[in-house]
Amino acid sequence: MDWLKLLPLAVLLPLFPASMLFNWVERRLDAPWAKAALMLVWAQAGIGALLWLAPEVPGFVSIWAVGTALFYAVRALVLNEATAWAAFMFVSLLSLSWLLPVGQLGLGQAHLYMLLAILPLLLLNLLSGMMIARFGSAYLGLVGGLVHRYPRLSTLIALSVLAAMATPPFPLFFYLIELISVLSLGLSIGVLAVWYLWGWAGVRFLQRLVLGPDVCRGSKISDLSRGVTWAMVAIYVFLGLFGLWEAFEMVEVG
Amino acid sequence: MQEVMLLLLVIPLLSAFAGLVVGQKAGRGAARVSFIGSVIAFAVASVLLLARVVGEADLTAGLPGGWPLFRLDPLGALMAWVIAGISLIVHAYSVRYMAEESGLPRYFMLLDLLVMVLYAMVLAADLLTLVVAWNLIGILLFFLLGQNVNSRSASRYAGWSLLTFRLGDLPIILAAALLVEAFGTFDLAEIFAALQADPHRTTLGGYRLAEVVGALISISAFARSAQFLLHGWLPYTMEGPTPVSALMHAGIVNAGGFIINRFAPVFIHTSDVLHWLFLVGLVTAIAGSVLMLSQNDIKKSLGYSTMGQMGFMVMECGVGAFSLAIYHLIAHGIFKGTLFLGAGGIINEARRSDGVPKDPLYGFIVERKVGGRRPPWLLMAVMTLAIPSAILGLAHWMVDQQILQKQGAIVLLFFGWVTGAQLLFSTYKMKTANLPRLLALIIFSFVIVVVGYTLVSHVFDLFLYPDPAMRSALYAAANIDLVWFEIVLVAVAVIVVLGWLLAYYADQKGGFRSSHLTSLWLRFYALVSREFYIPDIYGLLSHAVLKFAERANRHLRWL
Repeated sequence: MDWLKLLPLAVLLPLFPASMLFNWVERRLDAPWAKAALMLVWAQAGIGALLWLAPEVPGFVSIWAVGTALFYAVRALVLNEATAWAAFMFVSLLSLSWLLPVGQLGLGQAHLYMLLAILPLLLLNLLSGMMIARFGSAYLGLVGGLVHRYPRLSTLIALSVLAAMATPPFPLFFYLIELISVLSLGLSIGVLAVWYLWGWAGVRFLQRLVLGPDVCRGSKISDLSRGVTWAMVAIYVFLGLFGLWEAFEMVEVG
Repeated sequence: MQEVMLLLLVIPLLSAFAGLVVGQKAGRGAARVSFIGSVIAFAVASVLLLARVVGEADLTAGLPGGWPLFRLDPLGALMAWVIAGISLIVHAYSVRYMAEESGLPRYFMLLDLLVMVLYAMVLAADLLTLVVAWNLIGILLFFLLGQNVNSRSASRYAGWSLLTFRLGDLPIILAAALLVEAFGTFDLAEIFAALQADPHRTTLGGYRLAEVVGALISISAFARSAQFLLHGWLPYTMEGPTPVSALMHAGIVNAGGFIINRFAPVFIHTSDVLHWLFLVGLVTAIAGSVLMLSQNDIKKSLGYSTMGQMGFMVMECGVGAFSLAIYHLIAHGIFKGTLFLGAGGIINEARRSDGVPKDPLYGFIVERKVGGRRPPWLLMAVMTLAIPSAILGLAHWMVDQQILQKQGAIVLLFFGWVTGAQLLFSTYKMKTANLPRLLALIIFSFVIVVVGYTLVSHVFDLFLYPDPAMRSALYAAANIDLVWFEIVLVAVAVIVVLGWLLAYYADQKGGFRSSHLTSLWLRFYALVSREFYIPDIYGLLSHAVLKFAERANRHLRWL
């Protein structure tokens, strides 16, 4: 067993408890854009290292990876801070990279897929930054019922969360289907359980931040500008179209 | 005709976004655009159904490169027409009902998108389109049920429904992965043909592929159609707008019956799955009906009634009567949609007056007063047993003379007989002044229902499954060992007759006086009034998971 290859990978493609290192670094950063940049670099470094080192992943590591993904997805259920929620969802998603069929992926393709998979969480971090700039925090409960006064911000948050919880037609949904079709039954069930928990976490997040009674009543803070809104909507349209293209490729290959 | 089929999907999509744009300037403009879209879609769906009825072959519309996307087969055409019809009614109702509500453009956009996804589901030609549509229904319904964003409970139960739907998404995704892994294609027609050629193919763990896929599809259907233990979300989602409740009960919750029919070519190669469907459906039908009777909230009562009906629909699939389940889900959709849309008006009326004419029937049911004379019990006993048998036997013999060779058909006949006999049995207790008139009316209405049901379901059978071999295979897959079948049938008949004798005995004695029985009855009533404690159990489980997450986060300092 090639421990020297597996240990650095356990940090970059976080396996609990090495996953705590990512969260520790993420907590040290204040600016949401810096958190997003950290996620981007960490994920790309992780997938790059996985392809470069190409270790033989023992069976127990795959189970451990699914366990890590489950653990962080469960923990995300009760998080009240938007950037922390994104960080836990990120760890949960990234740990599933251990299950990828490394030999079948090209380097460029793997980097692109990883980028598209984590993009909703990066955007959610940026939206959290916009919330902090407006309300002073992105804390669920203190900020809530955004749909009443901030329809643009709410729409973008809802799209980010839906994409992050692997809803079609966003690419993550099709990646998961592809992944399940190459895994053993046990691991497939584990991945589906992670997917279910992402959905639960996403629903709770939306219920507390976007839906519900108007917590920001009386505030004079403006919604997002049209320009920012359209730019981000364009990114989601692109993500959706890429997801459909991914689906088309799946059907073509069979 | 392919273009017409695609038009059916494009119209609600266009109407969703056009309504959103128009709605930004004039909120009610969204309602008008959406309504016009639903009228056109209904016309298109009618053309498509007509084309199938006059014998047009299956049509496929897809992308170049092998993605079939959508196929117009009899099941798809019929279901699309039903959805278009229900959508039209719901849109027409929403125009006025939702006029004063905030977020009108959002509501109509979500409604149109949901209808489009429903079309995509029933017309899907490949597994991927089917799974995507199946998944999106839960997402869109979540937002529609949470339309009243001020209501925490509306949002809570909308979330509950999404999580149940998502639970049902998992098995269908797994089934799709297994089928694609086995046959290397997403095309449903190719998959069914390959399975037909190799029905004994095995999958993971050495189990038969058809059996595993059939079981997974059934579990998905159970979650979507609110079968027992997965039903909790259904009666609690009443805080959503009434038209959404109508659409949900008329066109979404019955998707379980549709998906089982869609995978009928898989179910004919299963040996035990249909028996499980029958059992789960039976338990759901009984539990749903009992819970319905114990409600004092009209919408919740309708919710549990849907659960009972869905149980009956799944049970029909379990005896091999697949096309009957489709007829049932359509009939249920129409009557339940009507009941939901009328519920608000009825509540409003009932606040002033219950409006029930005070005739002998009212006196018997509401005021518990009996009057007139009782019919002779021997006459009633003979009529109770003989008349339903004669009507059912004759009606079925007219459409299929081989009917008694199908176990599933016998089970359904048995249910029909019990229903008819129960109806006649009730008249014995009524002590009516004009017995012949009452009996004639009961028998006449029973004949209408049975003949209508038999003829229509027979027509559905011929339309949906034109191949007689397929029809026979469906019934054959539901068969059990003949000796066991006869034992069960006799046992159930004995239980039913004993129940009647018990009811007769209790009536003669003026009710049971035993304190033991009273206490047992009260305990049962408590159990039912707490809805078998199922919502409490789910509440405790989810609370335990959230507590665990909180503790883990605190101990690990949110790292």
